[in-house]
Amino acid sequence: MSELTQVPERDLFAVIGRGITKSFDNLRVLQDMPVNIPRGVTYCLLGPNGSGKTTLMRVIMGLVKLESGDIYILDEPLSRINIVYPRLGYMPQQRPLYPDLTVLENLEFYAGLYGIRGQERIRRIDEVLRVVDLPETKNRITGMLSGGMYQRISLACTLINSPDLLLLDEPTVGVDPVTKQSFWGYFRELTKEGKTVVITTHIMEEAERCDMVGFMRNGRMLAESSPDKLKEFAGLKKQLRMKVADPEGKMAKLVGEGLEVRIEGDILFVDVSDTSKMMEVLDQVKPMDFKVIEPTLESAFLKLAI
Amino acid sequence: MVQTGEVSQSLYRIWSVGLRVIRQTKRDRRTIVALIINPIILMLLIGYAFSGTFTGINLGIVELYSGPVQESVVNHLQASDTFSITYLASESEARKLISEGRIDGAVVLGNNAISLILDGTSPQVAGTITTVVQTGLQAAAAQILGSLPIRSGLPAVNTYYVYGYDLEVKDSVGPALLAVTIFFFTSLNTTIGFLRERLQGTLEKVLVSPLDRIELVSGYILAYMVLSTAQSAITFVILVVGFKVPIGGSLLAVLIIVLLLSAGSLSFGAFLSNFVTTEFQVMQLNPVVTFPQTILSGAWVPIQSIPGWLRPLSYIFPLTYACDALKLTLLKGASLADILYPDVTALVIFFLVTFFMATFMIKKEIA
Repeated sequence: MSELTQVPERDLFAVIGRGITKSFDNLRVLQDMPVNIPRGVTYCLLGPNGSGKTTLMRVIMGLVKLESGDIYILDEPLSRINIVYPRLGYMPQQRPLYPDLTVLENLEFYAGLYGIRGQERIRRIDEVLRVVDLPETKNRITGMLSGGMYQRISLACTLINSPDLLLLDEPTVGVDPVTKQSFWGYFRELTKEGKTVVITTHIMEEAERCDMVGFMRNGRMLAESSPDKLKEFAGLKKQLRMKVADPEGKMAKLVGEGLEVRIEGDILFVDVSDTSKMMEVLDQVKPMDFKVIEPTLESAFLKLAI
Repeated sequence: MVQTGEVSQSLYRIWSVGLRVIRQTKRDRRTIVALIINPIILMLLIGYAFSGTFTGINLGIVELYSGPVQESVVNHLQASDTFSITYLASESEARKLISEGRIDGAVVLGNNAISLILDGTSPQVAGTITTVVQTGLQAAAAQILGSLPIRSGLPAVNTYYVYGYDLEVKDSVGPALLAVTIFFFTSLNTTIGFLRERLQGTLEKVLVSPLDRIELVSGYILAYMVLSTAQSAITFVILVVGFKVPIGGSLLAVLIIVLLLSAGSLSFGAFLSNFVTTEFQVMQLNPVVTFPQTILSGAWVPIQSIPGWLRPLSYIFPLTYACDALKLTLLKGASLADILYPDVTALVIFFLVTFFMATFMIKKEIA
């Protein structure tokens, strides 16, 4: 019996896993990793290329055999993943559409796999095309679509069975900023309906928009939390960027007070824990110009990764 | 009730895959043209361009009369390593064995005449038998006639074809060509089809759906069986109308052979796709797999002309059985019952084994 069988609130998680381990050719791709994806959130697997994000996603869907560990998907153990398939929506990184078919034919095919037919099929297809704002593309050959349109149709195909859990592998790669923006809109809508959206990315700005982030590096889960909590957890503070007349002198003084200071020419960077401390420093240094820098997820990641 | 629902859902999924494949093919005009043109070109090229030497032709000998000339002919036939000889009691037994395909021809030695009963469906084999008997007679003449007082002692040679006509090479190659075309092109279709699915993200996406692997392979087979039936029909019409190949057997039996061979070849192609990563590799692998089969299957050259040490290979290739079955039904008028064993049995085994391997490999590759 694994520890997960004991977890009472297991059904609150779309995906919950412990000790996930997987190797390819003696190379550990996932190392004794936990994963906790609550239901009804956007969850981002964030990490550099080769950190194991895609492998983890494929493990969750039963496409890669688990070496050891324990996973529940929508409250079913991985061994019974087959019965979860009707409720899953997967959008792989490689192109998931048949380029020689029309948009409608692709949608009809995927609908068919879920046993959606007749009037229901027509209704669902119209609905998903409306969600991705492309109702007029029905009869176009999929291979001739632009990159952004292609990704939107891929998403439409992934939504055809109204999945409870969506797993999207780098959904916004090669997508223009406008389409990217609309994708986030779709994700919000979906989570409002109680669906769980899991995406992978190596782009910090994207992760910042998710409810939850799982930081991955070298097949390990460094941390899992909301972006704000992660920054806190990494011990990141706001930073004051000040242009000053006598940088060396001012720096020595601030360092003497126990503050963390970095210098770049006539610019000082000072870490400040709160607003009153910030006012205090500004009062003391009297900079010619200043700016407050909020901590980024990227710096949190860099800090946690070391 | 629940089970009926599940079966109908499963069939609907298989149908969805099949329809998709047909729609894809429909949009690929070049493939459709190739489906029609390829068998015609193959038929023209191969149908007219073959000859060979033979060993191990099964020959029956019926000795109705034993005189010096007859003895000499028998000795000559025995001395030749072309034949494996069976002695038979009567001409009717010989005819029966030929129609069952158990022997390739028979020599009936009478007092005044020698009858050659030949299998009309294998013109090359028939030609070889005729030639050897003629040279045997000439040898006998040279040897014996000098010592015989009367020159008229030499019997006449009459030739009979069991099927009543003298078939040309292209006639007997025709049915085999049908089998080869199906095997060659259908296996290629699934190899490339599955390879593309894997290179795109479609295979992964499809596998994360209620569609299971058996349904996936079945859907492909369904679609391509429709296509290969259409292709076979075209080839068939060309054979009958263009090349005037006489049709003896039941069309139902022909259809069953065609479907069984396509299903097996399609599964085989799907299985092969697991060993390639590019379409270029498919083109390299395909000849390695198909050429030995087409050459050793008895499609172009009768199995009798294949050296003995290579023949075991012929008997493990499914194409051998398909060619044999099609020759028997189309040219000899065999019914389904006549070809049930070994031909149909072998094709069923071929299909089951390759289907299992194809579905098993998809599972292994992904999971």
